[in-house]
Amino acid sequence: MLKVCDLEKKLQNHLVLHQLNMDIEDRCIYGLIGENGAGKSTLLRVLAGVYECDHGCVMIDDQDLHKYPEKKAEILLIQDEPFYFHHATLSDMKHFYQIAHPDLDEAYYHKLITVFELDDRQPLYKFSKGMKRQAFLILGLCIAPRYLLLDEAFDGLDPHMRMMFKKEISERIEEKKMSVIISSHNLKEMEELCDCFGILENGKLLTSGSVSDKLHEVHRFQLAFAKPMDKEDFSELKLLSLQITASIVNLVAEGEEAEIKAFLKEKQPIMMEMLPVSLEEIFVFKMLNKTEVSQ
Amino acid sequence: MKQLLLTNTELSYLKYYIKKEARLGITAIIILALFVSGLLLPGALVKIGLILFGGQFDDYSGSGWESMSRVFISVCILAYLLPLYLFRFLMNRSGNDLYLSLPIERKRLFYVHYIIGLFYLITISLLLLLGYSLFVNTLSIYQISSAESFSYILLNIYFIVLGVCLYTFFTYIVIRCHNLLDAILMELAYTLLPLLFYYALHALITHAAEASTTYLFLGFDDTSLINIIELPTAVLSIPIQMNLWMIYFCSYASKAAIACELLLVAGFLWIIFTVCCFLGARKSFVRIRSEQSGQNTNAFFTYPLLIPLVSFLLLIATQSEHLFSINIILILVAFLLAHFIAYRKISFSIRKLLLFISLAASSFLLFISLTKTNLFGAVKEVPKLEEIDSFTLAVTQYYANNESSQSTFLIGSGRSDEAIADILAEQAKIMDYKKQHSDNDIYDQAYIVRFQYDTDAVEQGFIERTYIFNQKDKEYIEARIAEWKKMHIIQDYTE
Repeated sequence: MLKVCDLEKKLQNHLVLHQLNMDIEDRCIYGLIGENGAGKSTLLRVLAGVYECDHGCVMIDDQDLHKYPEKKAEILLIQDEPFYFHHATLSDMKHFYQIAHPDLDEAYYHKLITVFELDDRQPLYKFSKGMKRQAFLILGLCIAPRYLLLDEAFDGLDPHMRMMFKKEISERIEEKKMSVIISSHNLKEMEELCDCFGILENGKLLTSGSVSDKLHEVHRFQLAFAKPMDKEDFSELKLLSLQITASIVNLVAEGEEAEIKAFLKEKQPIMMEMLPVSLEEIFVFKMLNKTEVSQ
Repeated sequence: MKQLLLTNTELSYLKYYIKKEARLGITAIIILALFVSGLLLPGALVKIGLILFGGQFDDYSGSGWESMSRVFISVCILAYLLPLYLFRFLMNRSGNDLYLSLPIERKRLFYVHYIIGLFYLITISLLLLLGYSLFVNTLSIYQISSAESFSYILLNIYFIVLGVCLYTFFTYIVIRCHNLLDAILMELAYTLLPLLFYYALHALITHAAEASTTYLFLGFDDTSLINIIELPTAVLSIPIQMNLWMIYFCSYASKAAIACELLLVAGFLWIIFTVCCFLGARKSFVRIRSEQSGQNTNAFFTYPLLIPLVSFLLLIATQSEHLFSINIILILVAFLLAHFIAYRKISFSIRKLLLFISLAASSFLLFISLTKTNLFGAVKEVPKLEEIDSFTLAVTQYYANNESSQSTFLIGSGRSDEAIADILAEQAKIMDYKKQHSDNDIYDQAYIVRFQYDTDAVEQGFIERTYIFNQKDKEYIEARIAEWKKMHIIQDYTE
């Protein structure tokens, strides 16, 4: 298990990560969500051992990553703009990564470069942005470290490639028992791919947990009443969003589905319909950090 | 013991890197071999460089050994470039992500990169030395005897040791810089700083001597102060040390300004300093905060030290009796420009202005204290009474409108203490007059007054002070001559 305890990190006197605690279970895909500047890339760099912690620690199996640098062999960070040597080819970079990760799967590597039609003898500077991303994702999957950290790794890939990589990641996790931590802005994609997620805001973890659990915890209802309603009528609910237009009410509430339904039925609606909620909506509601009410 | 050995991962990394850079290493060997053989850069440019770094023009004229210096220049170039190349990843955020996430302890990652640099520095230098030695011996180009050839090889091996010192020092500098431009500028600044130190002090002493005497260097024993600054300059700069060694080697000490024993001491001091630099570089590497990569460099010994230091050296180099001059404005502009380069923004604060004013005031005070104390006693225009055994006073008269027409007439000579004291007082009066009416137009001279003192205190056996008086001073000097005759301070004189 990868454990982050009371992590604090300052960048140029600005506190980017503040008392951050999180646990990442083995064999899961963890989605790191947050606005620009929330601290996602900084957190990934701390997890990879590139940045030192100002306070707190990162533990892998109860061993502090910064005190046991050999533990870094269990982690691989693929950046949004990966670094490669001057005139290096994908094959050269594979050789470099093999120093720290000698178990790189050669057969799988050859399979992937064939599937993704990449020439590993061509200098990487000649690759397009998307091709570079593919190249380093391939290396990450072939190394299959215990924790693969992907910083906005799918940005720049076309939909077809995204789908293929998502499939490969899912298969690889099953096969190699690895965990993947992905930061992204594409919440729809994260919802499809991730088991767990964490929302970062101003360096703090706003909420985290299993994606499916969270989707079951949050419910959207559309209701119609015989008389105009007031926001006070719904004050007993843990509301994330509330929109009232005379007798028509749209609300998003957190809690047990049955309890919310029972409460709403007591108000005797003419019509009540339950609508699906997406991870993106949960993110938006959480980020707004207040009940959205309009009348 | 385990601490000293590289792990399998570190060893694999070392091998990989050496193999990866082999092509670049071969390219470097070819370029430097062309340079050493004289095919790449004209000898004239190399000579200018060598003259700047502690040599004299005569040292390099008429012989081919200036091209021998190309091997040590190559060692210096390698020592300059290798740290920039090997540690440049520290100045790039994505480079940091790759290297610092490797499962290698930071201290050992530093060792690996440092060793790679050492490997290339020593290997390329030895190959160049071997190639050059074979070239010289096979073609007998410079008619070097086998004994000389052996000494030359030994000398170059010592140069490689000095090259390692330089490489380690630059490694420390590069690690403390946060971006590549700063690293290049800092390396350059520390290469040129000893030269600036030498030329600034030289200029300061020259200007102060001019201001202390009535005529340029009159009574100034220039072996005492100017030569004394050559030692710290040689200690500060490895390229200067190497150059002086080459001069010593090729001219057998006849032209070397500093004895080889002192150069050995300077080399020894550098070896001690290198150990400190190595430990400092290792510590800095371990403590590196990768989030600072690409940011402005703020380590004390970089811009915060160099900008005031270089400004101060420029101020003392251009100092005169007048505090305010156009030079100060130019140096202030350079001072602000350096701050702009350092912090990548235009800013002007009272603190900066106060710093510059204090530097200007300090340089002026230093200049004034040097002139007021006659360069701490080094300028002795009027000799001391106890040093003098006898004197001779001679006056040469030039006739107006006829430059070639002149007559020297002996005014007199003396030996008694009383007469010597009187003539010293007269010289002081003449000196004061000249200070107030400084003019030495050689096409307008009326009289030349020459004081010659016989003494055992100086090497040449006599001290001579000569004062030129122009037509406008004619009345004054004729009055003085008349006075001398009346005073009977001259026991014998002829006209």
